[in-house]
Amino acid sequence: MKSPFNHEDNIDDIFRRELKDHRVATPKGIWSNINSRLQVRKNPLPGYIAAATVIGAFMLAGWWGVSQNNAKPSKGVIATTNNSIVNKVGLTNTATSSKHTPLQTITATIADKKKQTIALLAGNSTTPVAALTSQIQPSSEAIAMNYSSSDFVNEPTADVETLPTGSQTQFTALLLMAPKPAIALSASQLNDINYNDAILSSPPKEIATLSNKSIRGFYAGANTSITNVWILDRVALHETNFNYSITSGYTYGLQGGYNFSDNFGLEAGLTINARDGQNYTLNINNVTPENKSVVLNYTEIPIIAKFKIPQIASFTGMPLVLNINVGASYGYLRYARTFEDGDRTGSRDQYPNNQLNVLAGFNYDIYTHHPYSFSFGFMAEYGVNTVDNGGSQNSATAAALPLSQYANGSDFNMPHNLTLGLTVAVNYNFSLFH
Amino acid sequence: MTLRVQKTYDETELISGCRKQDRHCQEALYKFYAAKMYAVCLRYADNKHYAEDILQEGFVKVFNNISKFRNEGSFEGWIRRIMVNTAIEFIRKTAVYLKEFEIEKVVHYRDDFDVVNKLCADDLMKIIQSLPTGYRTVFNLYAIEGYAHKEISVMLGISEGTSKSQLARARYMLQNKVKEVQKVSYEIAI
Repeated sequence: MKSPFNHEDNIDDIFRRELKDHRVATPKGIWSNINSRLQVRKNPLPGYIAAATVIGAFMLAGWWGVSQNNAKPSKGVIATTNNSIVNKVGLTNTATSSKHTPLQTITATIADKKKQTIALLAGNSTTPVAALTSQIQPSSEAIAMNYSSSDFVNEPTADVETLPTGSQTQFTALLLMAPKPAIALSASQLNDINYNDAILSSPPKEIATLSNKSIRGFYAGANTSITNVWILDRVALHETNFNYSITSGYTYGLQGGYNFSDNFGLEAGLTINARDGQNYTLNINNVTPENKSVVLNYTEIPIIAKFKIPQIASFTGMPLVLNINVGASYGYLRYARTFEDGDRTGSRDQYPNNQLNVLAGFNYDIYTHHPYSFSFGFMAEYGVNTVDNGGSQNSATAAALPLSQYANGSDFNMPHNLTLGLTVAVNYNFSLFH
Repeated sequence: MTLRVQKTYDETELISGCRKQDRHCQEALYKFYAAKMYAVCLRYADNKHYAEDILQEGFVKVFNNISKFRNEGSFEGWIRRIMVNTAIEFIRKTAVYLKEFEIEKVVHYRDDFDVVNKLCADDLMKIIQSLPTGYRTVFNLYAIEGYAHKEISVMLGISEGTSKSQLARARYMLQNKVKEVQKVSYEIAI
């Protein structure tokens, strides 16, 4: 006599054998419907391109801002005989040294570093302007401008051709130097740029340079960001009946770091709450679209390497630093919720506890005379591993997820977190400007 | 008079052509698998109209995502999984579906199922289609597709225990329905 267990197996086997490969003639018209829907297939690329374009545009804008700031002498940054900007490129005692060697040194140093620099030099009557001018004329990499004492008050305009040689009691030389091929500016161009106003507007009482405003040292503070988040699903991106909806998120947390030099720093943080997820609509069967959402809340620990491009801000006279950031973060899933038309569905078990993300972005650090600095910028974060528990071929788990309904297996369907956000932060600098 | 030449493709050519979005290859692939996949859809759907919708939706997914198929494993199996997942997504949209799962309890039974052997596939299909949605779904996933209870629980958002009880209940109902079919067949015969 068969046991009930065997009976169960038996009936299962019979149905499986008879029905697994069973065929039923399809009604007419199905193919034409499929054919018409295939012609309106969406292209998933614009989304990626748009994201990359936004990131690239932000970075270019930041880079352009820095280069523009470096291209002009800032008001209030006046060089003297103790010019630290000049010193930074390797020249000392400009005004009192011999008339040939210092300028040769400047030109060579700047050319070697391929760095566009504007140096303001102030001399005295022992260093004739004509000598300075002739020294650098062959390469046309510099133009000297000379002023009498009265020029500082009324008429700053002068050019190389009209310079009286050796007769002034005081003069200022403006040297424009650029990586080869050299940029030779005419006197009229100089006037257009209005460097003279810059020179005359501020007395040469203080020099704010990176050499005496070092940003090295420890800092700590808090940060927050507003983000737009996605769960990128390669399959869903192809779906004609699947539409991503704008999904906003946020983060807040703490950070601390150390600037090893003016050009490199390392930062670690604790993002107390990072809200990720995805809102979307699914319109299967051309019935009423169903609004769905996945809400994921992580606690993250980011570690970020910061490559710094410092300068002196014209509006503060203090360092303004552009940081290019790359790093990684570990995220622990605190909450996971899924909703269908407002009703909560699914369970946390569908999502793994651990996430590994890569980070990239940039931000500006604005220093003040106080030990505080402020930061704002842009950060992108991409989840390396999938947000669901799928990942093995034939995994039914992956198939059960809202964004993974279409097939099994990680090779087919890999939803990832992507976060793009604007960040702000405030830091206390423990050893600022020492 | 137009002479139409029907080109024949092997599976590799079909897949390659579909990846290039060749409409002839797509149609050929559809015709090759449609009948079998329609039978799959009928096993899960409440009626023929729903089955047609699932079939249509499933094939759109197949064509839109065929570039992801890496020639690892059976291509038919890959298509079948898409159909099953599409059917489950469709079923999940029905409101009464989840409630059915929660109120049932395990039903033990024992009887002679040899009578089932005497039924043809069409009869068995009708019997399965007559089951409530929840029972039918679990039975299809477990008995015919070969998923484990743990996988089914995740796919349907239910507990393993519920999956097991639904399966037992489905088998019990299948038994009764098979008996009814046998009885009718016997009466007709005499």
